[in-house]
Amino acid sequence: MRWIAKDSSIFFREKDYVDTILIPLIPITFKEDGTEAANASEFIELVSQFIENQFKGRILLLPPFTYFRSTEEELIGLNQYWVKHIESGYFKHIIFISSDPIWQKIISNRYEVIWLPSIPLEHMNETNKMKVISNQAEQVINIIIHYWQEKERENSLQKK
Amino acid sequence: MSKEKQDISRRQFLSYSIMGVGGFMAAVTVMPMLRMAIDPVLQAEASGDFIATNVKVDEITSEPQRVDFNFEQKDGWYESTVTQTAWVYKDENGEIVALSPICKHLGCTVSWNSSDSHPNQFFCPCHKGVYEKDGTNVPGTPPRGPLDRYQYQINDGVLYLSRRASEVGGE
Repeated sequence: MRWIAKDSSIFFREKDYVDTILIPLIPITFKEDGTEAANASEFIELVSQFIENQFKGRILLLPPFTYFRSTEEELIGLNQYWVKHIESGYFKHIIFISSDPIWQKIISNRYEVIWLPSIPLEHMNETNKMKVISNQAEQVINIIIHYWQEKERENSLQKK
Repeated sequence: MSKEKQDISRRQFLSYSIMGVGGFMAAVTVMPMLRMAIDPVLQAEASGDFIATNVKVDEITSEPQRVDFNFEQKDGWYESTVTQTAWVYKDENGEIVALSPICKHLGCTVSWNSSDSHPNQFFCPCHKGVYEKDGTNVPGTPPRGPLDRYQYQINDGVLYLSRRASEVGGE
C-alpha cells in the first residue's frame, strides 16, 4: 500500500494485516556528487515501488525519508524522530532500503536495513530500466520473505 | 388584440418557467449519479481490446507459466507503460486459462509453486493465501474469492490477453 487516499482507507480498515513498513532512504546533495545521489534516489524509489506492488497487502510504503548528506550524529537524530513515531503506529516490522552505506553503519544494529548498490539509470531506455529494476527488486523481495519467515520462527519459539 | 392572444396567464407562465428551471437543476444533479451508476458498463467497452503477448499458443502446457505483457496507458497528461502478469496454462480440456496474480485478499502478488509447503498451488507470501491450480481459493486461508481471469484471444497462433482481469462468477 502507498500513502495515498485510496490505499489509506484500506490500510486503516485492514490494519492488522499491514504489519510492515518500508521506508526508502533518499539522499540529497548539491555538491559534486549530486548526480550520483539523484541517480540513487531514482533507483531506490523505483525498486521500492516494485516491492510495494508485489506486497501490496502487507507492506505500507512510506513517502521517502529524504535527507541531506551530513554527519552521522545529525542523521541518527533525524532518523530517530521518524522511528519514534513509526513505532507508536504498532508496526511489527520496520524495513529501510537505501543505496547509501552510511545507514547500515549507523542504524542496522536496531532495524532492518537493506542496502543495494545503485545502478546508473541515466542512459537506459525504459525497457532496460524496468528489467534492471525488477531484477534487483526480486532479490530484495526474497530478502523480505526470508526476513518474515525468520521473525515468525523466532516468535513461535518464544511462545513455546 | 393582445388580450385575445394571451392564452397563457402570468401565473401559468411563471409556474412553467419554474418547472423548467427546476427540471434543469434536477438534471444537473441526477446526471452525474446516473453516469456513475452505468460507468462500469462504459469502461468494459473501452478496455475490451486485447494485447499481444510473446507467447505462442502451442508453447502453453498444462503447467502454469508466467506471462508478462505491456501496454500504454494514459492518466491525464501522463503516459505510462503498464506491465500486467498472467499465469497461463491449458486445463484438461485443452482450454487456455489465464489467471491474474493479484491476491483477492489485499492485493499482493501470488505465484505458482513458490512455496515448499504448498506445491502445485498458488501461494501468497503476505498472509499465506492459497489457491488451487484453477484459481479457486482454499478455504481456511485469508482470500475471500477465486483469482480473477483474463479473457483471451488467439490470432495467428499468438496468445492475446485482455488488459484487465475480471472476476470469476461475477457476483
